[in-house]
Amino acid sequence: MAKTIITTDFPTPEEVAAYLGIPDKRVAELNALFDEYQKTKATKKNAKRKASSRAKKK
Amino acid sequence: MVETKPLPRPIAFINIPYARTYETVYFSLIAGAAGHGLVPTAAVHDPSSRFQLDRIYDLIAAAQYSFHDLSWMSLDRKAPRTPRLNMAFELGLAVALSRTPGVKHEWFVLDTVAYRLDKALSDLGGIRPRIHDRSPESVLRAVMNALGRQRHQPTLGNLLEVYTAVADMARQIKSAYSTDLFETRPFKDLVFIAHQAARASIPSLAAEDAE
Repeated sequence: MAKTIITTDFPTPEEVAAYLGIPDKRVAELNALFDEYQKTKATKKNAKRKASSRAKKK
Repeated sequence: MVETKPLPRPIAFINIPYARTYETVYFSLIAGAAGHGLVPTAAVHDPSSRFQLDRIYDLIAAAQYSFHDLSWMSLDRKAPRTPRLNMAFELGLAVALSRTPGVKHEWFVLDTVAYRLDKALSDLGGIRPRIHDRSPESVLRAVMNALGRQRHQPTLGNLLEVYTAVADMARQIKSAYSTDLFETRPFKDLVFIAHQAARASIPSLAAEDAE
């Protein structure tokens, strides 16, 4: 089965929000939630890296 | 008539059973579509809508792609015990639309058992469904086997990151305002987060955004 190749650009967050009819206030809340998620993810990744580095030194 | 604003980006209609056991498939298809630059839509529960068939038809007609999971083959538990026919019906609408002159619509079928649809839906004879086991990896692989991108091609790892972000958002929605994710507001929130996660997870796209 041949793949379908998509040539269009990714939609911008503004385009997605406008198309779905998400109010600006909710967009701001979702952006904040996502930023928080990214920070938590980065913290966990760093902690894991440090733990792995400590384990290697032993 | 569903009110939608015109979108210059392709739209992907997602057609799956709305059941808790299909939540991972739901998240995976949202992640897979968003990860390929498509905007997912679905006929989620909308209490404000009166004419379900009109709404579903308009959603499918507005989409350039559709994904149909036909793996729910059992009868429900409440009497009278009945099968769910909506998924096959919506696939039928998509197939008919795709054959309308001037319409660009591609449809993809998914199942969890190989060759089963040859028996259950022999009208599709010759069309091979994409097989998955409801795990995020297998559903995302199925989407990757169907779609590719000219630029910003996501890897499975990228799509799994998008999936994880969507699943995390789903947990937050459940604890904040709705245990039913197959409703309008949760769906919109999940799709928005999926797009944000796609932009952050696909390295070439993230690099472009950083410029």
